[in-house]
Amino acid sequence: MHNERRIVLSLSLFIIALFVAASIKDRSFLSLKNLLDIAVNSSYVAIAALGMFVVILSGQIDVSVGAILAVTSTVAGALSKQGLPVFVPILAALATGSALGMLNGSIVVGLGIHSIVATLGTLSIYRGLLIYFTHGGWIIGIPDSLQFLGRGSIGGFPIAVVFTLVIFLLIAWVLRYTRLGRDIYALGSNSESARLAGIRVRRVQLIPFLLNGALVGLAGVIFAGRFGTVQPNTGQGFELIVIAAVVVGGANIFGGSGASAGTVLGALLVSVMGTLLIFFSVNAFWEEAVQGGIILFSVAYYTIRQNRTVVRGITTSATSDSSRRE
Amino acid sequence: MKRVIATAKKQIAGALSNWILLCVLIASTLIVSLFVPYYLAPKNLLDATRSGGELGLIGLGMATVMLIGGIDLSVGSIFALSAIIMGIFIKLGVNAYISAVLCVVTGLLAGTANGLIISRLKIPPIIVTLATMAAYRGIAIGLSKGVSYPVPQSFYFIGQGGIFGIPTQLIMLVGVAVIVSTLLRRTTFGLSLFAIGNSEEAARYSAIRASLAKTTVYAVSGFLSAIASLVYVARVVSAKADFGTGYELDAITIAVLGGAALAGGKANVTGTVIAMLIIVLLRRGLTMGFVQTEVQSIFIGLILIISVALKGSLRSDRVARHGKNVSA
Repeated sequence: MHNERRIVLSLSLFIIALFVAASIKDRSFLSLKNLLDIAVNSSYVAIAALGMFVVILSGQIDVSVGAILAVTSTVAGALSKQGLPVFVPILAALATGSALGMLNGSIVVGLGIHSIVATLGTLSIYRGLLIYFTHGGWIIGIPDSLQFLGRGSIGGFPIAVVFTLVIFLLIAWVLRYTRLGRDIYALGSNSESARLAGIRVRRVQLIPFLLNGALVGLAGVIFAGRFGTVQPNTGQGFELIVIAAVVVGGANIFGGSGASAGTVLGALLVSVMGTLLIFFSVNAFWEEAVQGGIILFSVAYYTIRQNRTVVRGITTSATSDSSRRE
Repeated sequence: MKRVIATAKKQIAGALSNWILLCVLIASTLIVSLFVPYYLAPKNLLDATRSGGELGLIGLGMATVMLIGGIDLSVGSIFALSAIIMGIFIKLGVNAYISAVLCVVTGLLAGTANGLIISRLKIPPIIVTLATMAAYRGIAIGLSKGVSYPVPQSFYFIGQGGIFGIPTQLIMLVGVAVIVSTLLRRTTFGLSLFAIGNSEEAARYSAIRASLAKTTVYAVSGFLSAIASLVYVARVVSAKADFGTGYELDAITIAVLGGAALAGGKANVTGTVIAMLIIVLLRRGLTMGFVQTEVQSIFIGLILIISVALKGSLRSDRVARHGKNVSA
């Protein structure tokens, strides 16, 4: 826990430093409108990243989230155009996301296929099926009722951000104070010991995938509402942004350690980069290179510091062998 | 004795999987040929191996990386970056062949950088190559500003020519496959890679210089991506920063289909080549049958999952299935 708090602290300081630097360059960066824009833009990344965080915490990974985002935002967009009450497309997107996530989990647990391989396969399948059914068409003219979720606000506070905060608090609470949460940590640290400790490994393992699918479904709804159109290639490379957010947030990619607050900050950092580059008048063509650099830098920083504490013998668990574990 | 039997079983399973792959290849080719006229024409099948050869080169690099328990997500970005470097130097008026050498050197350097970060800083390869995947692609985009570079005509024969009607890509792939296979089976270096893949700790205690070997493997992966990029550029006669998007997924698919395991310790060069043929020939058939590229990926995904599941069920040791595979 101590280590996780330090990661959250150093990430916050880093983000604050970036914001201060940007506002020195241009005062308008700290305007309320710009800050709210940044918050909304990072909200759907943060929601999906929280789902991915739980999956990674449990020792797995889901690289199909980009395809799930495309499917669920298409479902939400298409249904909302039918003139149905707004909760129908939302629930449908959540249900679709949960079903796809559950299918991922079932393939991993039921067939015993490594999650990278399994979700690599379903990534192709989900996106292929989407194109098959939509014939590659765009969904345009999404009604205001759904756009409200992506653009609207309550008392000046954007709805998407409220959703993100509620989900963050729920996940943080479940992970820390419930049996399920502790089981997920245990599973990610060492699934064999978790099994020997009487945790129903196969059943617990499904839950992160299910949750992740549902959260990506919600992210899809916000995405459709935010942009008002859905392209068939929506979410291409989204898995990388989301995984980057989790990793920058300090979670161990092999599972068993990490804090949900770190993931939210990681999502903020990864998605604010585009805006920051504009403020520092860097050509937008360099955005991806800077993103890659930040992932590398933050991970190198965590790893080097972690190794140093291990040598000193201060840190206790979860650092045993960071290079590879089966 | 038990161990001997276990090893024998493993070897049988290994040989068996090549036969299974071959059966899948023949079956899928025959099935597709029922629906698509002229599909079985030798010229058509050979032509499909052009893109296949390029993919196969990257796949062999990926299979070698996976042998040591690693993964390289940056292959598609290295592919793009080396293409852009070549395009830029050609545009600056540098001799085309020198530019080609610089293209390959770029791939080698990018791969070496991956390897050094992974082995020296001890950061998990999936994260390092995820980051460099964004970084290399970003550098390619930043340097080219989205422009595509033309390539001189003297170059076309590399991508479009061949010997006796056999595409250069296929010849190169066979050559590289023979070299990689020999390296893995017949040299101390190759055997040390198996040792690292099975247990890096144990390999290190056996005086194997693990970090040097790991760096070399990632360098080779980058090198092969650059070679593939060179041939691809010569085939499509331009260089652009969005080249090779998603190639990492294709490369992982054929490496895994070919018999590589994410946990490391397994390599099957022949299997990787057959897996490449399955994917590429199936794609070609579906394209000829007017199936959209994106819809084709449904079949690719299904083949990946089903074949890995079948392979898992063939494995005899139950511990591996229940204990190991469920965790990362």
